Amino acid sequence: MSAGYQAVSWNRQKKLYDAVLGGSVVTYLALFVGVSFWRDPHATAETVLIRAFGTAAILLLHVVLVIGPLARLDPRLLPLLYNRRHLGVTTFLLGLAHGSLALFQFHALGDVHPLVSLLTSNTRFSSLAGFPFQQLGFAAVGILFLMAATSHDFWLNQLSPPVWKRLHMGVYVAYGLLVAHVTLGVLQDETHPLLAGLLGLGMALVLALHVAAAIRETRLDRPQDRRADASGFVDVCAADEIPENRARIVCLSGERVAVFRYDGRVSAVSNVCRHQNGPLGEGKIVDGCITCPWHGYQYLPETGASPPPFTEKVSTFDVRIVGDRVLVHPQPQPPGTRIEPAVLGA
Amino acid sequence: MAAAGLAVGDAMTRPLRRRHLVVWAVLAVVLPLLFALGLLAR
Repeated sequence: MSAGYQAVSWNRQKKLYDAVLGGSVVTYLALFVGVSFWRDPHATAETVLIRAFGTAAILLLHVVLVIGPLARLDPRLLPLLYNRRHLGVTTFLLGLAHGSLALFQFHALGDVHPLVSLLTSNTRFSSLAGFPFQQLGFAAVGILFLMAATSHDFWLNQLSPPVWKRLHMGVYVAYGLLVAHVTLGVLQDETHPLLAGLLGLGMALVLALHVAAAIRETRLDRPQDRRADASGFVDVCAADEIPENRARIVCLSGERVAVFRYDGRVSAVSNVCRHQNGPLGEGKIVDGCITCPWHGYQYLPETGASPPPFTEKVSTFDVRIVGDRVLVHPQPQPPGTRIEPAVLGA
Repeated sequence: MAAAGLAVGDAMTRPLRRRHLVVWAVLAVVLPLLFALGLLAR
């Protein structure tokens, strides 16, 4: 939620998150370099650094990729999602360092431009063992660059959330390219089972978590047998099934609605946060405002509008209480439309 | 409903969730296959 341009809205959580991230990366690199020279004192600094940056990048990319499904499967892990884009930018920088050093070591000493050499020196696309794997890594770094360059909320607003989200789904393509880069590159020479085992394990973890989370989400989207009354209102649940200051998420007419209970009242809004489309119904009411669990964007439950000076708005829904049942009309009102909350026990 | 108001700017709507499922189902087949072929090619 932002009233104007700010480069980065630093707060204690972001500083802590980044301190842990920076400390972990530096520790990993130092350990990798130290152990590498301990095992092979004759190794060149360039080779060790190329491997240190490369393994750090792909390790961090695995971390980035498992945070999403883990947070879907267990909301206690939502804090990891809070500053995930800094992990993504760091992954790009590590990949860039790896690629730049490799470009210097393997392509800078000839009489053609290093990038031309990278793209033309190996064209054995029909050979698995001799595949030009460096070009796969180059393409992956290019995708990660696009994502890192557009990671700020400025670009989210400029591009619109759907376009931004599609662009950032490029991380899946980048991941596929990097798995191929490692498999057809270093794993062709390094036959020790540890490296292949770690990559296989990481890949299995990423794939299993994403498929599990996607199946769970699909189940939540299945049409439920809800009957509408004569005026079109749909019985969604009993009032006491909604915890105080929390929501129940229901699927109405094919999309999700968050039905909040607070201070003896019930309001319903779109489940989709305007910022990065986080699940509002998995958040709670803080200081009278629905608070998105992803990045803390807030909305007033009766209007779906962010409190001034902020301008974000989500759709609202008509709500009725009949006996102990909560009824919601599935037709959304335009974002920001005030709907009187239904009063419990009235 | 999606056309009536929720669709504008909503990326994490059902179509996108389906797209995620399709993308990861494809990757779950392609990546292990590529990985296995790469190891066999050594």
